[in-house]
Amino acid sequence: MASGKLRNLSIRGIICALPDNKVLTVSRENVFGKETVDKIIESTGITSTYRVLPRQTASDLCFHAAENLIKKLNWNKEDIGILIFTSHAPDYKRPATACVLQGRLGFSQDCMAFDIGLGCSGFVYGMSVIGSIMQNPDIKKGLLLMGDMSSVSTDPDTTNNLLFGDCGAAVAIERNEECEDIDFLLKTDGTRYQSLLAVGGGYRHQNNHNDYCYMDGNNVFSFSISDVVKTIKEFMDSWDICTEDIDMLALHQANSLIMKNIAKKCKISLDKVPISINHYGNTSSSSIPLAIVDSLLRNNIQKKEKYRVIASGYGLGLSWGVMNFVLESSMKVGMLYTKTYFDDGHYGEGEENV
Amino acid sequence: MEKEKKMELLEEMLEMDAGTLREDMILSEMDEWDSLSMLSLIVLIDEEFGKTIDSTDIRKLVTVKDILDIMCQ
Repeated sequence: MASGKLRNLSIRGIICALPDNKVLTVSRENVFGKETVDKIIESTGITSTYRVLPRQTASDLCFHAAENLIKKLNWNKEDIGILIFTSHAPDYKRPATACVLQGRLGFSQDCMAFDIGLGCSGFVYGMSVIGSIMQNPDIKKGLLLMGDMSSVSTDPDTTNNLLFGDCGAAVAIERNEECEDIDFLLKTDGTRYQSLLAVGGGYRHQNNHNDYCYMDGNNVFSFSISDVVKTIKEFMDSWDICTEDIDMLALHQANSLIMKNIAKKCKISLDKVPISINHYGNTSSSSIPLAIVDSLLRNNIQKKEKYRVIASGYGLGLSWGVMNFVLESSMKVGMLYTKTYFDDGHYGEGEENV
Repeated sequence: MEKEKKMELLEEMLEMDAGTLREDMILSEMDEWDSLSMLSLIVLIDEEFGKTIDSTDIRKLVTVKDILDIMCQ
């Protein structure tokens, strides 16, 4: 079983960075028509999204979030021994974006850096991987970055494009002997990989340049309300967790109907489920940290000294997982908006030095 | 579950007036049968009949009777 227990780790802070470009869903009526847009808003609740500006990428959002988080924590960059970037929107085909970010952030060479190429399950996978590596006591501090720009990777001429927004999140993790364990359970079903698939842009179909992500909405929906629910129940049974023990069920913000269905089946009260999809859309890998930060800043979740959280992410792969952790109310949280991007000095056809 | 009860559930799901849904109705010709109602059907079958249906199952549905048949299986 792909499960485990992570000891001596605490989450010191979470900061999310959004592109400074809010797009109201109603503003897309000129493309899709009023009736369609009204229906999408009614069924999904998504009234706005934040979309990357020209030349801005997911890594730019993560960079901004990371810089601010490190400053808020007063961390010495030399102490950060691991940097992971979880995304399906890398800056380049090679190298790994985490390496570029390590350089931009000015981290020491004594820092391992690599990407995890997942989408909506990115937070639970990323946390499990970084936490597992940080069981090595030599690594005291680590940074998990998650970012995607699905507003660009989905076809703008399809209504799927209305569902997605962009965001980058940074999570700071530190070794701490006096904290509660983190447990995780991860799953994969590659037989259903075609449910969320961008055929072009890779090496399998080199002449196909259509790298928009296709989504079989019905399959993804079925998967979310069946497999994901089963796994959350399996996780709670395995670790003997009662619904009363949970202060927050932080779910991937795919669709409010899915989240309500999962909460109902797991018998967890909806007021413990942060729902932020209405403001930001589905932001893929960063949607769980974004939902947590949004609910804490808006005081949508009952105030506590400590929050016992169960988080579950699910998406392309198909890949999904569940984990639990404790968030202290003293941890640093923040939400930022940025127009900045990394000018790497390379200009392709149609690109300008702006 | 009685057929009448199943038809009632489907009418409610499709937001149709009671007694207006017929077994021989062709789904693709119904305004009410859209992407959202497909998701609602997945939830209905899951909650009321404890079964998971996916895109392949939905693609095979031609008439309302086909939905009733899925409920019986």
